[in-house]
Amino acid sequence: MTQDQISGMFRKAINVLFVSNPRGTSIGILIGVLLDGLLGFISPMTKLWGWANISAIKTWHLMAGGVLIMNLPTYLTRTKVDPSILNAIDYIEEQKKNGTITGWQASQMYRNLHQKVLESVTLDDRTQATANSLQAVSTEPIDSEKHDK
Amino acid sequence: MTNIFTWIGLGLLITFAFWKFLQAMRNREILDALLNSLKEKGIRKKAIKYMEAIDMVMDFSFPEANKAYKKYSIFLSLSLYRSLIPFLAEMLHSDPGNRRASTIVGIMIGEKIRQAFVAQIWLTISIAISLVSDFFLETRSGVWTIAISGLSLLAIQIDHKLLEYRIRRGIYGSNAFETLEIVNFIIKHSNKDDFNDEGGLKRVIPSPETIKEEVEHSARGGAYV
Repeated sequence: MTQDQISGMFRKAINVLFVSNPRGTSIGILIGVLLDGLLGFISPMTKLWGWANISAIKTWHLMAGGVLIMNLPTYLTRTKVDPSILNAIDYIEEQKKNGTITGWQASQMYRNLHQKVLESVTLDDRTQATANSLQAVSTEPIDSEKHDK
Repeated sequence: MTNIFTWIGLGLLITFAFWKFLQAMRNREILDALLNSLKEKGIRKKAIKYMEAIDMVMDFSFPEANKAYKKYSIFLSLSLYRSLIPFLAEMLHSDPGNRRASTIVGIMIGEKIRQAFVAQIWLTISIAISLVSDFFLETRSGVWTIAISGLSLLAIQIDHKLLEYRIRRGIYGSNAFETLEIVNFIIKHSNKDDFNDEGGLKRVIPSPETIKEEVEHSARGGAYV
């Protein structure tokens, strides 16, 4: 396995485990901390009044709950990728596995797929405006610079 | 016992902040690139173009934010900002088809900068609240918070480093996972009002046969970069 493949594999592992929805996960952890603080604050009172012993609830229980709650909406409302794209990816992977194409050819096929998807999609106004501005900056001629020798 | 872990946590947090500061200060690559580029023709306009492009990506990432906010984002996501440079260079030098793809990945990195910034702020606040709560309310959340938040902060930084490595090597987007990452970003930012086929949805993605033909053609020698 090459260094490039290892870096790709690690990125996938880290993203699946931690950073696919960083905002939801981090807010979930914060909710866990806040609830823990709240329980710490009210636990003497619950003991005094003879209520259920809430000390059985550990910090990591609350954090896990927070992370789960914050990630659930994102998971349920996730955008489904069109089956034609998934088929194309499967096709490339299959060809690579069979040895019909090389790793380099597979990379070219993936890049071609990005372009194909991009050509077929109308971007939303804000993204399109940013893309247009960036492209306008990149296509302005540089040679007309007066201050250069 | 909890106090020992609290102090260890504080120490780790300060070390992390100090390490990030050193990393930002000792960025020899940027200095070298600037010195080398000063000798190049048309450098003034090119430098302005880079700055304008980075500013546009920042405006996309933080439309409502002030300058200080943007500065902190550079401090927390230095690797992602460095990852933008190869894309901006490619945009300046490539043909229109490749330029469009590079532009979209550049904007996607901008979104990642925002997500990472927000996540790192919340995780740091979690650690701070937990330490304060341990001191004043005698709770016991410090160790767990530092372990989980610290691991998440580390994961975010490692992901940024790996992304920077793969972009610099020109291999970003060359596997199934990263292809889906790019495709998901494009679909998320597509114009949903532009749909017009059955069920109110326009078929924005070509049929499987078309895609298959396209990718087969590219495997026969159609070079992209």
